Amino acid sequence: MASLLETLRKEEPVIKKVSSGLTTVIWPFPGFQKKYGLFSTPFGSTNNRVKIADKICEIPEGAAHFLEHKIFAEETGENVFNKFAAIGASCNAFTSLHSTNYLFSTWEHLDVCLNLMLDFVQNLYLTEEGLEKEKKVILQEIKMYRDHPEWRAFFNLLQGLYHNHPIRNDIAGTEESVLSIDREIIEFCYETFYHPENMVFILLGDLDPARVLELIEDNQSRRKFPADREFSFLPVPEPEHVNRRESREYLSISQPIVHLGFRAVEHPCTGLGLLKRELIYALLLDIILGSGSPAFYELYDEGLVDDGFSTSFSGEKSFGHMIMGGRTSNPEELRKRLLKIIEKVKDEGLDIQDLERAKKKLWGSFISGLNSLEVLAGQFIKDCRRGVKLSHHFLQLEKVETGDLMEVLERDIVEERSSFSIVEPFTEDE
Amino acid sequence: MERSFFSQEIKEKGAILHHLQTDKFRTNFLKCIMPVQLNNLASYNALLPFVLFRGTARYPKTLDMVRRLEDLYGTDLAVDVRKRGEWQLVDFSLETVNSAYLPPGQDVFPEAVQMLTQLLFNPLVLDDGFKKTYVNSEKRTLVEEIKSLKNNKMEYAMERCFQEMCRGEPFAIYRYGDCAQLESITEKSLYEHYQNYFARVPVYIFSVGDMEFSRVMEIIGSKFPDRQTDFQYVENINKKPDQEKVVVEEDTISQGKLIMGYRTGITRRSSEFAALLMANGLLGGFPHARLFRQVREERGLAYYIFSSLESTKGLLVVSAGIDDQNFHETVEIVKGQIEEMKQGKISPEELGYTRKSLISQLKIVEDDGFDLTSIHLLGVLNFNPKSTNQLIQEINSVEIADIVEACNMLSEDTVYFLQPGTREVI
Repeated sequence: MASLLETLRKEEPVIKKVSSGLTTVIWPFPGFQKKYGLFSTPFGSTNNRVKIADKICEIPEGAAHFLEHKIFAEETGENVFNKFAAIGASCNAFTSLHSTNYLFSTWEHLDVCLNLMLDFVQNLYLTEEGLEKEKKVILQEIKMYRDHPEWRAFFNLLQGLYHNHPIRNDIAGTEESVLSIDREIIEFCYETFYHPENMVFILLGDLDPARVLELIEDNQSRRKFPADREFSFLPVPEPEHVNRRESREYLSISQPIVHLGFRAVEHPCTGLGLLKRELIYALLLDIILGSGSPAFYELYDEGLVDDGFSTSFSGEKSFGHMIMGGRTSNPEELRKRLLKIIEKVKDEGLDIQDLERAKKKLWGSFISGLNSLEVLAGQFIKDCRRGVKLSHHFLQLEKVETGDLMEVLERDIVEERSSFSIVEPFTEDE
Repeated sequence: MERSFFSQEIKEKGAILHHLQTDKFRTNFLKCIMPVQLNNLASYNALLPFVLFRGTARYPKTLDMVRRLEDLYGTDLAVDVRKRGEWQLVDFSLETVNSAYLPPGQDVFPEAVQMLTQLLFNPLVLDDGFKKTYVNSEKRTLVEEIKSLKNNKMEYAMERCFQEMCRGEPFAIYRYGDCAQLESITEKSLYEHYQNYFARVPVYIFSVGDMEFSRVMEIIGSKFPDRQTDFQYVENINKKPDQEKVVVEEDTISQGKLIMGYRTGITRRSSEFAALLMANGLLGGFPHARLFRQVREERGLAYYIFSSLESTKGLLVVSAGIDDQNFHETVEIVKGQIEEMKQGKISPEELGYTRKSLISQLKIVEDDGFDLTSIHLLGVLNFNPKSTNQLIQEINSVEIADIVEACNMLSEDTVYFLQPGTREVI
């Protein structure tokens, strides 16, 4: 596998901090038409407790997302989308749990796009009227998700798993929290978290790293930035046990949608440890309940799951949980059976052949992800936060053993650490 | 460098291969499409790929087959059914990791194609029928899948609008058919349908990857059985609506879903297609477009609003999520914008933005293996396959007069609104 590793190492990006403090990442992909840029700040929906010079500030739910919307407003009244469209490029943005991201894709005008993006993200223009109008749009976005059964099942589960951790909050916030956000809050977040010192700009495509670096340096050296404000995000104290064992909501849907979640036992890990933990869970869940497991087809042929059934793990320093679920004809029965399947694996242990197969499968999907500049950019932002390299994915995957899987299985996947979220159809006669 | 598909019919195999050779991807893509006429047998065609996936003569157990695919470095073999125009497309897709990313000497592509071929032509058959438990299981899953359309309110509203608009036309049939017919299918009647009909449908193979055309031909040639096929010609139905229909239904939801359906009379086969692409782009294809600007940015009425084309059937649809009380205002804005475009009130700026954005979108398709195959498939289905550069050339030569002409071919057909209320849709 040495040659494989070489291939991957050759594909690592060029990383450099420019004079403004902005971390710039350039990743050449010969032959691609698209040039893709992602400008990211590590301020997401979960970062709502921050300490600045001994002062602790609470940030309302949905503020990161609100700010993302407002970044697009320009003093000239010009439309950012138009500026990109004028050169046939497109831009967009999204807020996640740990970051806010602005992206563009262009075919022929990388230089113009770079400057446009730096210019619009590194400027904030607010008016009272603009803020009020944006609240209306965001309330529509919240309403849209309220009708989304998987989204509801997911966030209800997180609220079941966690008491206080901000991961339980909807990224867009609530109607009340959005209405409470004002100019002062938005400006505070912008000034604190959008300093170039905190941000990463990643560019991928068929491009020349030296030239791109020069363009960014050129742009950044023309700007003046205030001194970087030191801050740290504070964890919110979270009890070890889950918040509630069950959540239920009714929506206009055809069949119940359920998520069974387990909270991982907290233990300090960073960087590579987080990556390894992620791989261990992915392999474990795939072996127990993936499409290549006997358990999956058993449940499938009984109508307890369909091919939309999925499992996932999500974890960072301050949290970790796995989720299994989908549509089902019988939520209670499915819950019981899933727990039984897990107990059976604990009793019988894992087969090394199953692990080898699961590794091959995970490897295949990792390689397939390398086809997409968007996937890679997202992966890099995460890896960057953790100090992980592309080749580490491969090296860590090699290292995982059945013992690692059994350890988390026995420690984390236990009923007491679980919460069950059900979104059900209204009853027939309603 | 211009890359395009190279095609050749393999008559004795009942297949046509369209291949694009490129070394930019780390995986190889291959899609087998069986296009069939949307008709009263839609549920049979929809159920078939899912039953075929459950077992072959070689791998009677689904689990064994899936495990073998996983062993081939997670070869992704997926089946689904789509609808394009009056066609129902039964779709078998394969993605395999390139040998460069596998241990030396490994090549999973030939075996993966072999497995796909087995799935298509060498299914598990017991007593002149498919395996009963598989058929029942897949029937149940598909029935639930059809019912679950209502879980996604945006898609549900779109499909309901199509049903109302195209009542009596094949296009009104859902891609998975209907529950009642599915319930009536047996393992024997399905196998009969497979033998008498499905096995005689030509296979359109679309492949993209780091392989010579001759090598793909050779692999297909050695894995596919010889067989006779019957080619079907499917006539596209383009009715002009007498008058606009308004359909309002209620559901227990928070946000109303508005769909406005227009007949364009223009498909990928038409000479006006590039002009229609421009018209749709100007109206609602981009965030710089009129609908996003007027409805979201100027008035804050919606979080999302866009227009899109069904380019095989010849439809344009506008989709938006809005509050109940803004229904009339939103509909009037959409109509007003189309009216302005019909009168040629199109600024040089928006024209330029849209043209460049469309071209960029087309170029970028070349960066995704499955997108490449999907676009080429649409061209083939419309008997008018074009390379990216051909289409770009056409877009470049579209003038305002052409867009006005395309806009004047739009006829309002159906306005559908799924309204927040207390009664639930079925």
